[in-house]
Amino acid sequence: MKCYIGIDLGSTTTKALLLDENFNALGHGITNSRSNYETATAVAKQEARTAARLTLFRRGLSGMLDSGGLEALMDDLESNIRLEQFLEQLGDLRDTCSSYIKNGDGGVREALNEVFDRIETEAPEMFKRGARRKSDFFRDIAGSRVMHIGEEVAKDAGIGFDTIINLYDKSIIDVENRPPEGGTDVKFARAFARAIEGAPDMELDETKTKAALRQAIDTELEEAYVVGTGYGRVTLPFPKEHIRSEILCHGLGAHIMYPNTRTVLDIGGQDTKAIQVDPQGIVENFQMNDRCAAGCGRYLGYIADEMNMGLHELGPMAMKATKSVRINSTCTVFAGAELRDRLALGEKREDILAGLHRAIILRAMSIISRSGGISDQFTFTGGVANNEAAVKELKKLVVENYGDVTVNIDPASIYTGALGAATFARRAVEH
Amino acid sequence: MKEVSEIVEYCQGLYDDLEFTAVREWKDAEPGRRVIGYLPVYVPRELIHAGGMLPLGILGGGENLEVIHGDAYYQSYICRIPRSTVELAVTNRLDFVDGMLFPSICDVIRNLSGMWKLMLPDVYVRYFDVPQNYRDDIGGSYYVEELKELKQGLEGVCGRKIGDDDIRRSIGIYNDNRKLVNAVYDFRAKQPWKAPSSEVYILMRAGMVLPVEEHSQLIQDYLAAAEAENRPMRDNCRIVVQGSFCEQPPLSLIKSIELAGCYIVDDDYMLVARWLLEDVPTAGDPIANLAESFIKHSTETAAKYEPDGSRKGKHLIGTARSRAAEGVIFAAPSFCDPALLDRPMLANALSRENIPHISFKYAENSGQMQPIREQAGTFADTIKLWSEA
Repeated sequence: MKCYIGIDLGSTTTKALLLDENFNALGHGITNSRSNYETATAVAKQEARTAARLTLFRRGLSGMLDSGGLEALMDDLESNIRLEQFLEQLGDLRDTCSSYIKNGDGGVREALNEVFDRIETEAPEMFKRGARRKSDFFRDIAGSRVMHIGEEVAKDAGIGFDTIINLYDKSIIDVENRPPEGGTDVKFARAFARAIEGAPDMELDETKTKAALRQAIDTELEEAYVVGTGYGRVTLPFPKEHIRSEILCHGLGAHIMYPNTRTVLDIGGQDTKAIQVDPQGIVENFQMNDRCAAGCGRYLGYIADEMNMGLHELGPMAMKATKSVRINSTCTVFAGAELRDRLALGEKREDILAGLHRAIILRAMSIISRSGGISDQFTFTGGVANNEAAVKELKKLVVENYGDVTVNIDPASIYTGALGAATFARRAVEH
Repeated sequence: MKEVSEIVEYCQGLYDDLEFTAVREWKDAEPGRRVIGYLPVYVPRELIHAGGMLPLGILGGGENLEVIHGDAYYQSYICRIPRSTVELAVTNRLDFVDGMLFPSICDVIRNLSGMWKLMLPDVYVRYFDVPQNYRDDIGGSYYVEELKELKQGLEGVCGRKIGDDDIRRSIGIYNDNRKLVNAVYDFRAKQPWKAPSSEVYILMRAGMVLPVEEHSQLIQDYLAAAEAENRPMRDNCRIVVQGSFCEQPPLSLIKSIELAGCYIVDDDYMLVARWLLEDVPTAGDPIANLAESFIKHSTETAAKYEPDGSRKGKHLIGTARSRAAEGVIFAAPSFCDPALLDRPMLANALSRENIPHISFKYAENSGQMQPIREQAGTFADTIKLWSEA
């Protein structure tokens, strides 16, 4: 099966998206960019391929289950594949940590094994369908669990907590930069077995299901054309025509998602783009943030770090605000200082966060105005589009400044650039 | 007698009101009333007043205006006042203004006058080009013509001739106002603990939106109330603030300087009210008198050209001496060409006179005051340590 692949190498995350021969999205994958675009690309692509196989399996099962049952099974399967991937990397992390322990340091080895045993035991619970995680990236999950469990274990074993943390710190970069092994076959089979186990009352024709699974796994996903975009695109080992600018890709991606889009706002990790597109999705005008990454996603990242929270948790907390503290500077470098200043003045965290979200959106509104304002329809993309507090402020300001405009936000909006890139890949083969 | 708090609250209300309600109400009170807006640093408000119109000082949008469209009109590396002023216009907050004067302070404000013409073709817009040559026969006669043209333009807005007697009367009223403004500055310099700069500042800001007669009354009320009120004297040092003549600092910055241990005993906020250093004569040709006062008796600021390098800073040094200031804080808006280009020359002049100085920059919407408190506090402390040594 021919596939068209778009890869968006963002400053924070790397995204990959596969289009099938009929130009439907087969699957997407995302990973943290970890300052290593080569690995990030490999991981994102592998995730997208895994997702693609799930899509194929779902197609193979259609008609065999009612839609509720199908969704449940697919969700279970996806969660279990994530669990398999997590356990694989966790094993790698355990081995790498062990390799750093000096011979004769039996106490440390024992403690380390205890930490990893415990994480392994609790892992299925973490990856249960519907479970909430601070992040889906291995580094974040493993890091927070090692910190948490490591402290307890180290205390009980009478060894220094920093010994465990040092081992983790030494190893995580190695592990992260080793893309997980292939072995899709085995992982799928194991994940499937777990999923079925978790849903014993599901009426499934085992033979047919297994055949569908086999077909999904065996289908060859041939990479007909790959287009790369995003901040790290110059590092891709692609010829020039396989690389497209982010702005073009976001414009086209938004057009594919919502064909009536005329204005696109993309707030990514380190830039904000306002893009005007024509009815074909080709860029007519655009503006980017100048000077620095003030008011971009990275700013929220720093704030989250400063508050010791997950990036996903900022929006929900800001939604609890009863008022909005005015924040005029969205300087990423001074984000922490600004925050502490406000906290020192006795402002509540949620109110400060509401102010921060408004400040970001105000900057974006200003960039939109520079690019020519908002024409119906308006599509908001990028990682920040997943943040409910940012969306709330944006919608309010759009109505105030441009009236009743349709605002599109796709739940998969983080993949807009990758979708645009994949569409360029498809067009490259067509022409 | 009015209480200080009452007056301050009133002024704060005017300061915070980005809709200019007080001016709108003044205009609506009688049919045919006109409002003429002006930007820093100086316009002859007497001429506007003489035409029965209200001069409205526009000093940007301040810290509370959210600029959404204003940025689109300018490149990024300029100050904020033109962006927020454009924002005031495009959000219809200035839709009651019948004319706008843009004094020749810098290129940015000159460009703003052009934008205004394009944006609001029905509004009387004038780039008010004051002389940069102070010889009677050159700058002097040029300025007389400039004033006559301005008068003519203003007559177009108010729909009647502005007579010499009208101007003489207005000159007298503004002379009175200037005396009162100076009285407040003198009072503060003498007893700075009785007239905190944050109060003096908003009292002067009220003069940007109120009819001059009302403002003069307000000042008298304040002087009486402040004198009557006992407030604790602090062990603060005395400083002059320099460089804030156009884009204004947020009020919290002025408060921060004071909280950090500095009494502001003079400043260059809203120079329009103190531009002329002497009374303008009320007898004789009023236009010639206004011109003569400008050429011979106007203050020094970065927007005014001083051809004689050796005289640069004389005015500032004189102010510091006469106010018994112990130091000067250069506080200029980021990207303010006139203030920032002037600063090294003024700083050198102060150094030669052994007057301590520091400098920092702000924007009208600066939000973080910690660095300001740190710098002003250090300055205050070092001044004390030096004087003890």
